[in-house]
Amino acid sequence: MTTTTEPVAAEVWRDALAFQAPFLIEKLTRDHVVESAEEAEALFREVKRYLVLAAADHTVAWAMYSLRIDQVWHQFILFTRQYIDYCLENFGRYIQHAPSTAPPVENLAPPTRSTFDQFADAYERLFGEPLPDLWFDERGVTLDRRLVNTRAGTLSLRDSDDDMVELLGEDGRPLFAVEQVGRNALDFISRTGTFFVRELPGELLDVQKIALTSTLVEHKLLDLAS
Amino acid sequence: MVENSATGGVRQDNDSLVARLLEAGSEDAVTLTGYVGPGSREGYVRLFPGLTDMSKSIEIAQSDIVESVELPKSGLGAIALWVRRDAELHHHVVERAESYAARTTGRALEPARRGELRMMVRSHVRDVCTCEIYCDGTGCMPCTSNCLARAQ
Repeated sequence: MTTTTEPVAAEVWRDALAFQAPFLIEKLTRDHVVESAEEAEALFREVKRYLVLAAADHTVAWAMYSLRIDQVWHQFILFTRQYIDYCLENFGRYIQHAPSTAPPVENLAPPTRSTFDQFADAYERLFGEPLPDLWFDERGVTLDRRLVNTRAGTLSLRDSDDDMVELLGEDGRPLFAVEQVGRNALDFISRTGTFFVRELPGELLDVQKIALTSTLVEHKLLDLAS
Repeated sequence: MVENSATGGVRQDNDSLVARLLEAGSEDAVTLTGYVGPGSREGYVRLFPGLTDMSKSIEIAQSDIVESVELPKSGLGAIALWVRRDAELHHHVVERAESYAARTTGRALEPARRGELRMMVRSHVRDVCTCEIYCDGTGCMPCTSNCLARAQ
């Protein structure tokens, strides 16, 4: 059988889920990847759950949907010895997180890639609770959050017919639009590589600054900075 | 109940779930969990993954179900089904017509409102991910880039 049900999972993967990594928590906190040890622990718990989910169900290529959790996974892997031991002891194999140029594995036909809904359903079945907020990067946006725009300088603005201003990609296709009150903020975002939410210029209220940027994070147009 | 010396004297129950699964050939099955309801045609049942969103379900031929067991922890009648690996599952998705039209006609942006701010966003971006991994019995495919969290 390739799929594990929740009651079985709780027992089978108990050690993998209970694993503690104080060295990682300390590094995440010290390097300001997270704001507190509690946040680091919470993110690391989700890394472990993600790895367990991937190991428990081989029928799907499980996608990683949170940059924050992905960052913690990266940091865990940097503790090479501990990460290898963790993988081998709990999953019997090394789970890689390779760069984009990684060659395909021979004789391993890729299964269907998960959708977010599939992932959320599988997570709830396996762990008996819905995906926590940590899986929704946009819910971590505050006025003091630093954001990254990796496409700064390649984006442009255009006024639309319905009194909105559109954000256009490099190919001229609309990626996003906001009503005119957000024009100055969107113009700033389109040109700026890194900024704090509170720095947005223009007439937006604080709650609107958060609304604008969290929506852009949700729709993969901005990233949370570590 | 029988005593079995091969199991070190541990009492075995021939009617236990494990015994029934082995007898039914469950090695060639996958486990699905959820809530069962009547199918839309005779000989089928419908499995809902959860009770919070009844818009999605799969229909399974009763002849493809190897075994089933109630999950007592759910308290709401959730069950686990062992389904033949090669069973054909019929997916049912209930979707608003306007959402379907937007998705299938490729309309670029759809309305969104947050914090009293009117916006237009691309649909289905939630499925864009940072990377993916998958495992078979012998190894795990590395996290790959074709799933990078970047707008296309």
